[in-house]
Amino acid sequence: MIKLINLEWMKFRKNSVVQMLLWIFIIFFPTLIFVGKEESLTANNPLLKSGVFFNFPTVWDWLGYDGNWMVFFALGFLVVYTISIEISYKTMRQNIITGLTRTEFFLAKLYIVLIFVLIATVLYAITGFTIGWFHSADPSFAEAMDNDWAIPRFALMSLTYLLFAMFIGFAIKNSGLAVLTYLSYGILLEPMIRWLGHAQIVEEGISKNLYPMNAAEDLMPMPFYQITQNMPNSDGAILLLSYKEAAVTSGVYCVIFLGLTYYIFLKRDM
Amino acid sequence: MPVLEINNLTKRYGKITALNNLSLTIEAGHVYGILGPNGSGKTTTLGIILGVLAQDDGSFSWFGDKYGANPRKEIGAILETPNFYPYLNAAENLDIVRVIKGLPPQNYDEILKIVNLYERRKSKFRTYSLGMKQRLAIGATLIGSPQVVIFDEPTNGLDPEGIAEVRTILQNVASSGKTVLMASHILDEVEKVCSHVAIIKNGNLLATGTVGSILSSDMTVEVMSTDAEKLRNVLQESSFVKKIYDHKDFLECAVDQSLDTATLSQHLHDKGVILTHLVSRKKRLEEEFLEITQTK
Ligand SMILES: Nc1ncnc2c1ncn2[C@@H]1O[C@H](COP(=O)(O)OP(=O)(O)OP(=O)(O)O)[C@@H](O)[C@H]1O
Ligand SMILES: [Mg+2]
Repeated sequence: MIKLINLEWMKFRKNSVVQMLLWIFIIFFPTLIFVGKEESLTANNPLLKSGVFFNFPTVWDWLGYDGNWMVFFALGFLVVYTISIEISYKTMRQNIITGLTRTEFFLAKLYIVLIFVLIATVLYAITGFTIGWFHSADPSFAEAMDNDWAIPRFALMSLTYLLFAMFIGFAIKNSGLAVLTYLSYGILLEPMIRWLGHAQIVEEGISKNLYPMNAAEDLMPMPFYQITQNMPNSDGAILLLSYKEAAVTSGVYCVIFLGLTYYIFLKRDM
Repeated sequence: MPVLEINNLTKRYGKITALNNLSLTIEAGHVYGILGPNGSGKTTTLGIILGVLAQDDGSFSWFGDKYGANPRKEIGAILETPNFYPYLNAAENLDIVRVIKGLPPQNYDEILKIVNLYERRKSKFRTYSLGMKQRLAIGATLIGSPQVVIFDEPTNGLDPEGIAEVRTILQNVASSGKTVLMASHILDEVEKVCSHVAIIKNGNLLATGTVGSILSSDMTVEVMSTDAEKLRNVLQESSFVKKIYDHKDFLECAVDQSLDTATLSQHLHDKGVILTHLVSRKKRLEEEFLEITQTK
């Protein structure tokens, strides 16, 4: 395991795209919430008081939603990128010829995913805790941790996004197409399938929310939605999965993505 | 025990049969050329024995399966183009090969000098010319000093000077006692570097044997006698025998073109050698050889 992680480190530590995106993630994930606060407050939304961004327990929601985007874009992009350039440079093939087994190559990429999840989650925990501690009136550890399992939810959300990215990276051999598919599936394709396809053809109910990117997103949803979810809803549309539903759904997708990735990679010609 | 044994490999791409029941045996110390025109199945063969392509039929075995399912750490190989990380320099790229092979840290100066890249070792791979890339790839195959090295068209796309340079490197590698497997569509290259050759076309093996017997303009005869030792001595003293190769069941000799089998047989008889086996080969292989050069 150490050998494989070291190998990935040697491959990518000098890659400028990887360096840049990692820095963007590390710098912007903890700070974007401050920008978000300014934006939302100037919008003069009656539902929001300034404190809601930084106080326990709501800081976990807002920071989590910020991280939701950052993990999907920055880290997800990186996962797709670090796999698909190995296909386009043919270094994947050369790695195998040199003596790596396919399973080792697959594991090395899985370790990248797990390390990214770890980095994102630790950053989330530290930032959330720090911001909340300094802004809450009389902070206590119990109050800080009274957050509906926010930290494990964040980890599972990240894992689902990144395993999906890994699957796309392995499945689509053309690197440009892989990145494009990953991004457009998450922000365009899946919402279109859900709202224009599934909701119209199958049903309006909860099943349209059981798609992978949506399930992951609902682990750390947009806090506005949560607020509206609690209000009487005229047309009865279900916007969000409960945390439990989202967690189980995401978990199932994680297993599916992992299994599929390993299966297609183990069999195919390079 | 052969270094590599290939048994009846078959590979299909849809309707195209890229390899058709190919069998080869490569012994330790051979410098083996796979010679064939473009599209004949050379890269496909190498891809299968290096674990990146799956065969539809047949099998192969490296080192008598001594190293199990992944013998590739004991082999230095490049397939088609040199594949490296473009944003890393020569030493950093070689270091990745070392880590994959599970070797301790080492200094690459010697290898870089062999392939004449020492001066440029700090430059990124992407800034290399094609010749330099090709030479780095050859250098990478030498890491860990594997017993077997494999090259796929190592002089492809190079200018005459680059070809000469790479060939000299290959000749040095070959004479260092390693087993070498090299694919090429250039007859001249195989003739200059290799000791043995397999000629393939459309995925079929046309001929295989020593370079001397297959590619030279000399005639080849296979002979055997009840007294092999005496046969060999007599042949060695004969002026028309240029070279003798040992086979399990017979001796193979390169002889003057003008020699006919009757003369040879009479000569051996006069010296008291009774032949049990006498075959002359020339025509058939020459035709195949011509066929190949024509396709080129
Ligand atoms: N991925 C593929 N899909 C379909 N056909 C393929 C594929 N790879 C190779 N082929 C076909 O298999 C045959 C053998 O190809 P191969 O690359 O092994 O030839 P080669 O002897 O290495 O040729 P060259 O001298 O051009 O490198 C060719 O007919 C080729 O078109
Ligand atoms: Mg080829």
